[in-house]
Amino acid sequence: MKQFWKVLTNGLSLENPLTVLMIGLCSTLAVSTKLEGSLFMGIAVIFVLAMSNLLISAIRRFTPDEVRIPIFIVVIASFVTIVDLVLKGYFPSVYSFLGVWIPLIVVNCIVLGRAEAYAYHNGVLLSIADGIGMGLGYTLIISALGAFRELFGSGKLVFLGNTLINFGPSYRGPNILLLFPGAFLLFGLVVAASQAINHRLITRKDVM
Amino acid sequence: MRDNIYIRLGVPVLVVCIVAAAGLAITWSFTADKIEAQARAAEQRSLKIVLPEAADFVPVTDAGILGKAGAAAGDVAVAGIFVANDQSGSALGVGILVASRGYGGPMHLAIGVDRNGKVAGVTIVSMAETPGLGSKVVDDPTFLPRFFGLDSAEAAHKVDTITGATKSSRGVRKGVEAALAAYKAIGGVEGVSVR
Repeated sequence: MKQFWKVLTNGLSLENPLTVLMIGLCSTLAVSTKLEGSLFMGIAVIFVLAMSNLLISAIRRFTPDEVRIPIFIVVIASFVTIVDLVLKGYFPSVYSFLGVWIPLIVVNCIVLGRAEAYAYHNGVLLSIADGIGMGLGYTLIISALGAFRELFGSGKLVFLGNTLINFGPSYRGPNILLLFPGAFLLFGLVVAASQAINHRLITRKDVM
Repeated sequence: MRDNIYIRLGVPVLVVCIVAAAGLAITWSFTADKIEAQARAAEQRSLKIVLPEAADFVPVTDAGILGKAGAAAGDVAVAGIFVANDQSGSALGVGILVASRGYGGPMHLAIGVDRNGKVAGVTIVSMAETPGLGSKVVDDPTFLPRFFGLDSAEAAHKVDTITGATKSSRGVRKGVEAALAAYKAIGGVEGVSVR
């Protein structure tokens, strides 16, 4: 159980897929203009990661080495299609915002990367923990970026139709925050901050 | 031993694919109705924009009418024709959904034509035009109203395009032209509201 938590929290900090492993960046930079969309994107990624890790780990003994990648892709694509159908049917506004980025989870390096690097070599339970942890790490960063860019770029924060914060019409935010250069700049700052935190975590561990 | 490889590698892939297909079929059966309903709702919303006075929109299902409309629209696809009824149930216009071609791919438009054959409203349901250039057809608030009140495909063809969004403007224009041609081909409101 201790191992479970360790693997789970790994994805949040020391092996965060975005700020440490630096994979899955394009969807992050593109989608994180709104908190709501970012959060749903994160949930979709958590689901796909946890489920595909679970299944790939469960069938790893029957998966021949030579054809493991096609099998991973079929498993991942199936779960992504499930997410796609459910979002289309039940959350059309979120679906139209995320658009092509949902089907593109299939080629998100995080999912295939974890299947290959973790689930294919580890037990079912730990693989689920890894999937959820990696997904949470992704969700944390993308939602933080989304909240910041939406709030300071457009002057208000809207979640499921409720306006949480509104700076009023007199606020004219820097437009660059909502465009790609802003995403890159902001992401750089987030990476710097998370490196600082991780550095502290590691040195503290060394002392103990 | 050689043929064994195909079985050893092929069977696991085949099994995974079959299971995946079954799983997707089940998900599809649960969500298909819901997705269909959402698409219908989106359709009704865009029709409501182009013919705001209408209380409801009844789809035309007569294959003969749809065929005539499709032939008149040329290479623009007619995705649906709706009779717009007011509160009392009498037809006040026709809503036409078309799929035209812009610069970035298909452009889905909804066009409302009133009972005098004049364009009452045009809206873009979905498109994939370049943000900042082609997207001017929506961002420029003076563009879509240029079509309002026109009553023939020839008149619609004379509408000016936007600089920097020429192909996208042409996509919209072709869509409106096709809708007006289709409206004429089906005999206007009377042609579809007889039954």
